[in-house]
Amino acid sequence: MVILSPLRYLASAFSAQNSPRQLALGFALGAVIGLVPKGNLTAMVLMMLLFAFRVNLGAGLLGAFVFSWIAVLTDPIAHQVGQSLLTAEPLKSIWTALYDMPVVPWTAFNNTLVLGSFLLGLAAFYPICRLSEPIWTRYWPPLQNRLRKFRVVKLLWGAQITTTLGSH
Amino acid sequence: MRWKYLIPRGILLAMMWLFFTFTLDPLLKRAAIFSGQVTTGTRIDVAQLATGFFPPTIDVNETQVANRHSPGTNLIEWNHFHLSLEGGPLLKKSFIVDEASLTGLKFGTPRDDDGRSDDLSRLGSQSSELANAFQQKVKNAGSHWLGLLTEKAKDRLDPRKLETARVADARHANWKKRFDTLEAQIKDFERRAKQIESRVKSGDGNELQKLQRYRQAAADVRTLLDDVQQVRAEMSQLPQIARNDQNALNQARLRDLESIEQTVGFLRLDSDLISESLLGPELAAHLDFALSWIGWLNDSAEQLAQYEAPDRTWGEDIVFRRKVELPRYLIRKLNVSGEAKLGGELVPFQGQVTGLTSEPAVYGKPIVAHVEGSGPVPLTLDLTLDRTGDVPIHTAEFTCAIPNSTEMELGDADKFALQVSGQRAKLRVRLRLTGEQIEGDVRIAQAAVALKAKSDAKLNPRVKKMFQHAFDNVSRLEIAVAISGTLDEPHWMLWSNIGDELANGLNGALASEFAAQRRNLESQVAAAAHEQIEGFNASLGKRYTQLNSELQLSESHARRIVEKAAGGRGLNLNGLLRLK
Repeated sequence: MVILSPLRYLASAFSAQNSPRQLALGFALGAVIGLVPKGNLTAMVLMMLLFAFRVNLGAGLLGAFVFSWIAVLTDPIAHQVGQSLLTAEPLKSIWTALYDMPVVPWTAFNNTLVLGSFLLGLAAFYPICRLSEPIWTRYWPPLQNRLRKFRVVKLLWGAQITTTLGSH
Repeated sequence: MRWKYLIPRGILLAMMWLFFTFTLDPLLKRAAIFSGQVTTGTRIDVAQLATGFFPPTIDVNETQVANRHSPGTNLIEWNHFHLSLEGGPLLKKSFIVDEASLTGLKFGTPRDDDGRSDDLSRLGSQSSELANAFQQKVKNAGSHWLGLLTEKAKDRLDPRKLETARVADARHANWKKRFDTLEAQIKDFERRAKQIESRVKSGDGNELQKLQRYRQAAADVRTLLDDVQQVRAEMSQLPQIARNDQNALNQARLRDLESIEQTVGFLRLDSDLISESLLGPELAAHLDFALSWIGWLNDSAEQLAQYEAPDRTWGEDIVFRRKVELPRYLIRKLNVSGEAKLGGELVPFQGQVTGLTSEPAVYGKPIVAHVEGSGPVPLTLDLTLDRTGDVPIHTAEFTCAIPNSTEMELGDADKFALQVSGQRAKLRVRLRLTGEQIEGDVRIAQAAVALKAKSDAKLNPRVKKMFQHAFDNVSRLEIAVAISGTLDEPHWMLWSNIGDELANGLNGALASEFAAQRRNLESQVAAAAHEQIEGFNASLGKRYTQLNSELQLSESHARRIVEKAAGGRGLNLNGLLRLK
């Protein structure tokens, strides 16, 4: 059981903050992460925010996974958005100043796809959060009931956690 | 304390730390191998890549870069490559290294596999083509000049090739035909005379019939004698024809002598041909070495500068102008040390490369390398790869004493090779590549040399003697190849004192050889021509006399028949023959 403790803590990280609002916030933040190309500081900061805020990590990772596939469709739009902003003459001084600052170049903001998809993600954050909250309210309780029946869930989450889950 | 909040996140952070600790280096290693293979077009093996964060360092150990054009060998390998990144530029995403070190550098080492990679490869293709073309040219040159020399050294007096002999043979054949025809005619006269005689002697028939036979015989004899006269007339023209033929023979003899003069006059060997054939194989190797390296460096630098990630995945990076421009990758100074194999001998060296960058235009300085040998073999390499302007300009100067060069073999052992012994030879290669234009030279110098033809060379003894005479004049060896043109269509010009001195020596030997041979030939031609003409005259005179006497006999025979027939019967011979 000692070996299982860290895994239980990990499982609790994914299962905690499981109110519909926290689930919706986590899913929306995950959507932004999914849309932004990885391998840059922007994606890493977004991941850190997901871990730092009191939002549901499981929903966040689900959102990142789902929207990574959706990003294939939105990439051309994101590229257009990023390109138009980065090449806009009035914004040039801002971009130049940012580009010359330490650390900022690692965010890859000067990449059309990174900037475009990040802005698309930010724009989509609130709608995704609002639209997904009723869905989580309706479907999360029956989903919990189904999950409790799996032996692996019982083993990892333990009676205490499953009781906690059951209390909702 | 919200442990329920902190502990799960602490565990996730620990997992991320484990990921970076145990998987970042292998991932970077794979990325380095992939990008290196794309850049160089050859297979790259890296045994270990280790990164450090405080300060940011990278160590790349036991690395091998395969030589795709020489399966089973490495183009380059090193034991340890260490670099420490500067923190300030790194925050701005520029990988700047003030000083790095590359140790245990080796070239041309063997490897376990053939080193083929499915990635791009253009390494050394142009230089190999150039070297192959060069070798082919010098091979042809070698065959040509040696063949020429052997041909020239042969005894050129072949009686069958003399014009005198050819003319004499032709005229002889004409005379034989002519005499055979005359002989046949004279024999025919004899036969006809005997027929007439037998008809005259026959006692058959009455007197009238006999008289008619005599008259007929007289007419036949008259025809026979006319024919005899005609043949005699033909024979009277023969001396004139013989004189004409003799004149023709004399003319042929004079032309034979003139031909010998001309042949001796043209007996000059080309020093460039000799140089190319003897020195080509040795120089082609050095040329290939120099051009393959400069070509590889040029291609790699170009590939690195032009490398772009695919648009679909990565979008487009918009670059903004900084107050202080920094290249993306830069190693300001790289200390190198290792061993290079020269002439089969390992030569230790050390040096430094400065300004190694992916964006030379941004950095504003060329890549400069200076390497010196640290062992007993003197060696220096100065290399400048300048891609700061619109047209890339690369220069390379390499000087070294060629190891094991106190005994060198020059030329093609299958045809003709020279054994050269002397002091250690010095090599200097200078190349300048401006865009596609290439110019430079390769020079080899060796003092106190002694030349010797390889014993297994299949040479005419007379040629060997001439060579020995020429070798005695050569005491130093200087070779130079001037290269110009473009990488696609290079031109070269080879010069060597060995070519000049051998050509001079051989030409001198050939001149004295052929002066003696010319005198010999002239006397032989004169003797041969005299023999031909005399033989011709003797044969002609003997046959002519014989035929003339046979003709006389035939005519006398014919006249006796008629006289005999007419005299016994009281006939008038003159009237019978209607002779006046």
